[in-house]
Amino acid sequence: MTEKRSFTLDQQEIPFQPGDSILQAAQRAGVYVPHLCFHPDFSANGSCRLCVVSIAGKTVAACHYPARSGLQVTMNNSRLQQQRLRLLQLLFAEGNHFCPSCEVSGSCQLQALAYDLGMTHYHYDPFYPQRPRDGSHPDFFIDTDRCIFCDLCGRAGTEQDHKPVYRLGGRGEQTRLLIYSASGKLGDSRAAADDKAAHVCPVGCILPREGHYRDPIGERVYDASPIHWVGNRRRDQHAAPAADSAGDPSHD
Amino acid sequence: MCRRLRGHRLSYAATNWPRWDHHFLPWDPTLAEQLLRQRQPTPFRPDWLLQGLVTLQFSFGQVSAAAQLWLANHCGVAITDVRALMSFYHFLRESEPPRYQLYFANNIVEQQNGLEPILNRLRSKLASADCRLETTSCIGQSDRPLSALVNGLPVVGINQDNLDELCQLLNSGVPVGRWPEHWFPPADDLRHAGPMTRYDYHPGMALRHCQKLSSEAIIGLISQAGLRGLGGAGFPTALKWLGCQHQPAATRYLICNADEGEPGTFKDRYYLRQQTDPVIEGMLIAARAIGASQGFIYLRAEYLYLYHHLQQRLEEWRRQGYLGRDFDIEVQVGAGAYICGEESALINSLAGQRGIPRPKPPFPGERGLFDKPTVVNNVETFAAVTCIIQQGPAAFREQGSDTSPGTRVHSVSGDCPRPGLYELAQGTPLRRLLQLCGGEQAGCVQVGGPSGALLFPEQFDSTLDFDSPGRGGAIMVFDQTRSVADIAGNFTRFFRYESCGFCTPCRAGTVALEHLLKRLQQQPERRLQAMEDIMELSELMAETSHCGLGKTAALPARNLISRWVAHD
Amino acid sequence: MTEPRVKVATCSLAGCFGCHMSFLDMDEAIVPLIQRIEFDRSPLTDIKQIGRCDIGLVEGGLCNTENREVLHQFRAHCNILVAVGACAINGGVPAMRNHYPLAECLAESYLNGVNVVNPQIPRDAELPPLLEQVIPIGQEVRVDYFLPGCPPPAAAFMEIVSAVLEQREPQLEYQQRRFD
Repeated sequence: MTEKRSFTLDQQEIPFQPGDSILQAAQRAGVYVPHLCFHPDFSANGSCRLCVVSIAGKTVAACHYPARSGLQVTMNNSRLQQQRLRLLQLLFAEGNHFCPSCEVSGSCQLQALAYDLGMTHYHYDPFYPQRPRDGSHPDFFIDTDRCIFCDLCGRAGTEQDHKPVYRLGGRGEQTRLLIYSASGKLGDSRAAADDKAAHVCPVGCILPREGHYRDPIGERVYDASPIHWVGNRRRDQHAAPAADSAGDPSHD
Repeated sequence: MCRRLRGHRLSYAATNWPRWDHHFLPWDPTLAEQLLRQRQPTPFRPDWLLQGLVTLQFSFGQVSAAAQLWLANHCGVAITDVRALMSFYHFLRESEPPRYQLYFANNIVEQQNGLEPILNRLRSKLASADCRLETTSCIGQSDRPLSALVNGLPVVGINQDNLDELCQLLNSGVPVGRWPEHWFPPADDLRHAGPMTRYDYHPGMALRHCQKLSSEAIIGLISQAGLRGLGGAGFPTALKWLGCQHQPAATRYLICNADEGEPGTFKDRYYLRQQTDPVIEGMLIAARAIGASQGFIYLRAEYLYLYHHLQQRLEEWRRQGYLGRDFDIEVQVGAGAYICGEESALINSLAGQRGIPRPKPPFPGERGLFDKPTVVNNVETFAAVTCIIQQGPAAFREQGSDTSPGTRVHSVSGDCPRPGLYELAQGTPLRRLLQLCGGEQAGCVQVGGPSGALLFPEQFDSTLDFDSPGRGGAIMVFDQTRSVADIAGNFTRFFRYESCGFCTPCRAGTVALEHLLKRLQQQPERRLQAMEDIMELSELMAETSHCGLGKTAALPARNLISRWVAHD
Repeated sequence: MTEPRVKVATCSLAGCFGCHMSFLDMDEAIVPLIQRIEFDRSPLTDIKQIGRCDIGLVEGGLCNTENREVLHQFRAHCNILVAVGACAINGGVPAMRNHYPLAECLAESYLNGVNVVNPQIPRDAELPPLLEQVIPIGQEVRVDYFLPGCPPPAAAFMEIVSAVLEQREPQLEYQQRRFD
């Protein structure tokens, strides 16, 4: 008799494999844990903190916390939901997120989580930071007003594309997305149209130049269904939910 | 062998790096390579990138775009990796240096000692001088206000009376290392010494004793003494060592954390200068206990003036044959980032990265520097190790309490006639320390630095140990005229500035917190809501932040609100 | 007609009146509603001075001193103040000028811009001075409810007014919480 490897997440039994984090195991079991900086194909980062869960009264990031047999994990109580809402509001307040004029509105993961958690406003005063834009590349436009410093592009670059294009620099509120090129411009970097790194942005910061505003309002990824049903889906995965097979499962 | 260096004058015009007897040099790649090789025979490695930048910064007064490219090419890294460091560590500057770069500490103690008026007067008097006046979080001289780093060298005791002399010097063009002696930090003397600083230290005796013991036996002695980390967190040192020693690994590292940056603390500058040998010996003992092959002293850039002295003492230990064979110690210098005092951020910084704290687990004892088991201890902890081994654990336990044995050195600054260093038994009441330093009439006292606790007269019987509010360490005394809101505002700004920016609650929360504090003052009709928001945000930050900085960053604001609620 | 009528005031500050248009988008649903509400100061009534009101619906953020004055009047006269639309909530599109210093914005618009004739920055005493930054109304005064959207859907307006009439907390459904 081998011991059964499982923990409970909001009373639901979740099996796990050795090396799994709470979030990885939950995702494999088809349970949605809110997140922005996590992606199943890449190493965990733990910066957005939206995946916070409670274990024995301690709040931890599910994307980093190792799964262990017998753990009792709380994900959806009112306190944690409220904390996630506040974290989202901080993310909105610290950037310049003008949804009405944003190309990815309707399929943005940041916006979708905000919809799902019932966010109506920022709660905190907007910071209105001054951040640069970069239109030097033929295929992509970079609008760092929208960057949430999840480092998904950086991790995708090192772990899958095996070429550095994006990374974070700076400190504190001055944290910035840096581009690997002598000029600091994307146009002078090795960025290419089919880089994984260019297509993992959960917001509209790294933006393909083509293909926007095709889906009418009402038919975009998160228009009708909340992200906890649809999962963290890239905007180009709308038509084929099963395409990201290793990705976030869709549930109902 | 090693002669004690009590009251020894430091030489700033030494032949090695860094030098203050001449001005910043014009960029010269050949010279740059010489300087780098003086510090490290193989300097062109990605993991030594930050050290390369630090060396260039304090030699040329800048790391110009050309210098960055030069170093990136030599180290085989991308220029973007250099830019990531340049933009993280605030002493690293790309712009053309002035002849004199001044950094004043803007901690609350300095604010209350007339920082703004001095800065304003300096600005008006130095309009034509080749000077740049800036502020930084803390330069480790809070007991000697006002102080400033001039081209990296601390200049202390600046006041309205000697400002003219300072201006003359800044106008004269005399290199800062050749300024009159009285401008520089004098050798520290403890205001109140204790068993850890005044025992009859015999250099090498403790180490020789340990050479006869197994690592378990050494750790056993430290465990018997009940030593807890004196950097502030108070984690049992023996447990930390065991955690590392147990790991199956061929290579283990030992790090001395000399990056104390908590505003108001300055004990390490005393240990590094006057107790250098016990600190080094403590590292040798620890290295033997955990089986480390390489040690590092991570020296905060604000203490660069102690670099040469440290190197001299290390050289002496090498000459005596204790260092350099199966264990050696390298001194690495920080570049202005408070967060690098957090052990895992320090480890990343030592590896030439931005100082972002790592997720735990794994703890450094398991996977630390270059992913090898690593122990990080504070400077004072190593000094205590030497003391414990030489004098025996029982002697150490004679002082302090069961859970916090021994003594520790507190850094006292602020409104009291006798600021300075006080070694006191753990468990000493704060009131006793206030009597010693002359701060009995204090209106409130910040214990444990900005992330500690603000205590009021009714709490002055609280003790200074690991089980009490604030725990001790940096003690800032405030008289009754000082505004609690100003104190909270200053500390909140400090955390905002020093947040590494990795996680949402700290990066954005520290900014939002400052906005809310401003609302308290500017929109009195919304005071109640702002107070509620501050309390909620402080809980959010405490519970969801990635590391200790974010978890404690909202404490000053929270303490302020709690105080108001209790007294409204 | 003995049922008490709820007094509603509306205004558009640094907005585009799109939110007002969306309010009217409720089409025939406005007929029963109008039986139960009475408009005070509003572009719909052209009443210029605000009286005591139950609900104030504020569209747009603050871009000049007059906006600020009107907002404070609304806050003082309305029991419930509602921030309506993206601009009131986060500054919206007008706040995109916060990327630039005010002087630079004015110079671009009135001095150096394409097709500018007779370049001069307007300085009439009738014109309220611009604020250095466009800010959301919640930064200036306490706001009770927020209707997100650019504009908020008509159903969201219906819900907020109905909730006040029925003395309950408003509940915006998933489809009614839009940021665009």
